[in-house]
Amino acid sequence: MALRRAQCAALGLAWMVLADPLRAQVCSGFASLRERHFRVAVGVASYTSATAIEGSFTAGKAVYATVGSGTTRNGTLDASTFDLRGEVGADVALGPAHRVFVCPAASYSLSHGPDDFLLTGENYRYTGPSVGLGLAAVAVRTRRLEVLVAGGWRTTRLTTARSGWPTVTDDYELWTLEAGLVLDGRITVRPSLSIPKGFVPAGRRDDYAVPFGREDGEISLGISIGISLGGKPAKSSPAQGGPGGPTSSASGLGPWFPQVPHSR
Amino acid sequence: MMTRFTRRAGRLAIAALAVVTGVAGCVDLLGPGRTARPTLASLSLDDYFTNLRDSGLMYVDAVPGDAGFRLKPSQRVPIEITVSSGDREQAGLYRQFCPFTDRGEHFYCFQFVIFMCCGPYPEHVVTTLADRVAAIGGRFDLVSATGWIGGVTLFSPDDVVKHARDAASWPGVEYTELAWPNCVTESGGGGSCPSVAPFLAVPLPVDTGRAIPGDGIVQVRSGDTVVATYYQPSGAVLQARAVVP
Repeated sequence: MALRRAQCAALGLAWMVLADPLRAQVCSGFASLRERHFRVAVGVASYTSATAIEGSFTAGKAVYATVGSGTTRNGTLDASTFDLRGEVGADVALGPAHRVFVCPAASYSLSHGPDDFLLTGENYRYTGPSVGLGLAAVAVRTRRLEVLVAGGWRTTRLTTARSGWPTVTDDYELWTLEAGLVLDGRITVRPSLSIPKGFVPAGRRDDYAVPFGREDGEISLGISIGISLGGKPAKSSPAQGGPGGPTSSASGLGPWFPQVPHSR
Repeated sequence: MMTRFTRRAGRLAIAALAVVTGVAGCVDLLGPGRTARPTLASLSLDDYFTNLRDSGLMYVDAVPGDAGFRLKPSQRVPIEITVSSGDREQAGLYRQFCPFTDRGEHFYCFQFVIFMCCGPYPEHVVTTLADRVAAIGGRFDLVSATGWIGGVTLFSPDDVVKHARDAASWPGVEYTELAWPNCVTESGGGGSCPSVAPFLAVPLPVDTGRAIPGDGIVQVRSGDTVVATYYQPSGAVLQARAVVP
């Protein structure tokens, strides 16, 4: 228990240290696409009762597009979904110093499954658009390493099709917090957490209209690794604090993980 | 070049690990312990599933006093089983109904049902699968008079759905189902059964013979009294008893 408290204290201290000074801002936990215009990434997230894995490809600059696919599995229920996602987004710098970035993003997700859920013969499909905003900062920037802190909010209109049942549509929110560790602007390791909110209340007849594998209000942990490809980073400018300077924002919210609507 | 890259990657991995373990530590700090001790309103040996004979089982039910109580997946509620002929076992009550959420339909966490093929294989009776059931850590709790239907209780709640799905391909099996409680919701059937979420249960295998305390199997003899005991947070003792026929 003492060790856990120490971990918490260290984490809190690190968070405060990382938050200051803000020498430049980016809007993703991933490396900027300003110089390297492509990124491939893989990530895994652990939920209360499921695990999600996703691979994604992102291309762009200040405006980006991402396509991703993956799977979400609940081993206890022997149930999985196959997930597809497309997303577009952009960085918007606030103020002349380009110290704060807000990133609007929109995505569309499709999840196929689970099939024969709980041996009932029922199949599920989840589809829905999402829109949201992200906010991020470069907490630490050295010649080789950047530490990015990013957060985001999105709302999703999830449509759930369950065989033999009415198709239902409901909205929920997803809050995310990410810390990106970027090496040479090329390799990013990004721990993250996410909290979904606003699910349809349990006990209602349509209470199956929730993303697979998620629980309302749960805190899930995830980690992603991204590799940026193409181009070469610009030389560091001391006045601007690193590769690309203050406008060296990431491409946007990046592949928020998890992005694909999932069910119970 | 490779060495420099490796060094960088190593430092990056260490930094990432520090952040992840820090976050995990915090989440864990806020999370539940492995043992829960709610105040129980009742503790009983389920008459329907309990069969105190050789190759039988006992099924302990409990209802928390607080209808809002929800056991976490990692938690167990400790109980003690004692037999008058000397056996003594520890067990942990688990959720009786899964999944661990109030939404959706709930099934018995430890059980599933096998339906044997009847058309071209009338000779198939479910008890011929006893060895297969034992191999996945279970026993039959109920078998229909014709042998066509058999209820299986597994002694671990892990992978019940997977085992039930796999059992559908066993020889002579027509299909399998999870065991669903009879539940009618206010909305008129279907949907979820939120009232079952707090219920707790644990099955234990029962054999006849000499007592072997702590082996996870309850050894009984005819005429024995089997007692399940729970120590309430207040210090009070809650017990359920049954006599071996």
